Amino acid sequence: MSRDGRGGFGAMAARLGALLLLLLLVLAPQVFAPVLRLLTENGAPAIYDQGSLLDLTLDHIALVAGSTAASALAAVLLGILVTRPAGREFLPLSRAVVNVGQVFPPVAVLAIAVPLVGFGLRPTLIALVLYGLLPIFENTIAGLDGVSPPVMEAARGMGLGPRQRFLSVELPLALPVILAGIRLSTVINIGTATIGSTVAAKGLGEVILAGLGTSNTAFILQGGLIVGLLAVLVYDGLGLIEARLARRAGRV
Amino acid sequence: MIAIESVSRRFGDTLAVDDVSLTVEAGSVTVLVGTSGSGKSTLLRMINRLIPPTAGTIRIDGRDTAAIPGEALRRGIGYVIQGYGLFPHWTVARNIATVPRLMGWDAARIARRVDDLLELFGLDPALYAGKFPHELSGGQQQRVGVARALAAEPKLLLMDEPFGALDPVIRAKAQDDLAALQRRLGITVVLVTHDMAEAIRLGDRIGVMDGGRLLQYAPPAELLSRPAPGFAERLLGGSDRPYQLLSLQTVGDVLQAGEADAGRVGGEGGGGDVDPGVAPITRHTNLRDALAALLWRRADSLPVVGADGAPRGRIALAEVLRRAGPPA
Ligand SMILES: Nc1ncnc2c1ncn2[C@@H]1O[C@H](COP(=O)(O)OP(=O)(O)O)[C@@H](O)[C@H]1O
Ligand SMILES: [Mg+2]
Repeated sequence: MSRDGRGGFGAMAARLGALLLLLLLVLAPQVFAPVLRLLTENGAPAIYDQGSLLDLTLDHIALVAGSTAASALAAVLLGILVTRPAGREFLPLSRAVVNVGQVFPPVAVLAIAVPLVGFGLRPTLIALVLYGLLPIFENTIAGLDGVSPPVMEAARGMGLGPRQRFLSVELPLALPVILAGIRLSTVINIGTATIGSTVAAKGLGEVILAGLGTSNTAFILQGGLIVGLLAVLVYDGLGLIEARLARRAGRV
Repeated sequence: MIAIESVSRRFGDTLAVDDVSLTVEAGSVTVLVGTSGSGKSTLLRMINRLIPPTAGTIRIDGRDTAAIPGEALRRGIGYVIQGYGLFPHWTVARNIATVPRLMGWDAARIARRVDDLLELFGLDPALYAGKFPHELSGGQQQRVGVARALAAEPKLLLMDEPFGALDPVIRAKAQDDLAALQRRLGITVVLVTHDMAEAIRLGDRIGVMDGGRLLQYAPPAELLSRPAPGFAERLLGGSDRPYQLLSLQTVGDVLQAGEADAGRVGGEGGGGDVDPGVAPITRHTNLRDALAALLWRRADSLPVVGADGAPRGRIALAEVLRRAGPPA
């Protein structure tokens, strides 16, 4: 924790504040009714009433967790493959493919995927998995290539075999950087997952869409705040894990 | 004994090592010296087959290294590189235990070996075993690097610019420590450096390399007094050669009977005219240090004493000066 320096206490307070706000928004949204009512017109409801906010939040988290896990698995394996001597030649091709996944807007992916796989979870997962590949792929490569050459030379010189070098030296040393990529990808997809609601995937996008459809700013604010706080807290939490691993890897 | 026979290594169009043959005696220190890019590291790394030769054979104790699986070969040979390459995510103890673990030693034996090595290198196990490499000074990292290389008790130690990252004071100490360690363990050392002074200080034999070729392979005294014309001579060059030549000889070589005409043995008789800070001269003092003492005391000759402090004869300035150049 020494890394936080003097900000340690402040950071912890902010973290707890954000967590408390999130829990209230999800579990006891009525608390905010007096404030949110100021944003509604013609007696429209101030608190989202078309479903359980808790259920939508859990669905949203599951959607992001599932898609990021799939992105991570694919991108890390691909990153490992193209950093092996035998796989180097596939690096440009892999990079091009992964980049297309990032450059192609997720909305467009949805538009293409729905006719092929139907509405709901499936097209959304496809869009999110593609969108999440790039940061993890690039960080996997940077992490593995970033292991200091003398360390790898020493590992070989001591008589470690290829598998031992990879599992006990290269991968542990690259792990903090790989995790940073997963963290970035997760946070991006927490926001991006809201578009799933346009194709009837369950998630917090519903709250925002409902607000847009009925010009109810209070709904939009609730949906947006929950998504935003989720993103901030997940980013922060994964950052703490990463810092701990980086310290263990002697990178600090 | 290492026998390197007509070994070459090509990288694409570069011939990094060009038909080198040399023999390294068991229990000796061989230093490969040359400018950057001369092929020293490539030659060294062919000994443990980190790089396989493109031509020629290397035998260790009569066995062709090509016939031994690479990893097994390397586990039996100590290897130290510039920058040390300590594993940053492992403690000092775990780093040192690398090869014993690979060789399947039991935990108790590994723990004992790690403690012994830490003590040998002047690092208190209670204090240092659990530290991570980034918590150590450069000199300590260097010692851990050597300790790790020696952990499985190899008879051969390969070192690639092992002192390159140390400041001059610590480097001199590390060089002395290595020389003492080598004598004590009786291991064979092959060391690569671009520093001729280091080569002369440590080497029983010195191989001078340039452009992938071995230009000269000789004991330091021979190299200094009869360098091969051309590159080897230039590499030695400079104004230090007489001093380096003197540093290889000891007072025992030029000891004369009789009493010195100036200065007296410290602590004996009057003794007031002897610098307390100057160590007494013995048969084992090298001639470079003896010259310094003669010059400092403005003496034509000084007494030489035994380990017991009793007089053994004298050393004359004129005789030292005669030894500072190549034999006529
Ligand atoms: N792995 C390699 N691939 C290509 N060229 C290399 C490789 N290793 C060394 N070389 C080349 O071989 C020559 C000798 O290098 P090296 O043995 O490292 O020299 P030194 O250790 O004396 O500085 C240099 O020209 C270097 O560029
Ligand atoms: Mg080199």
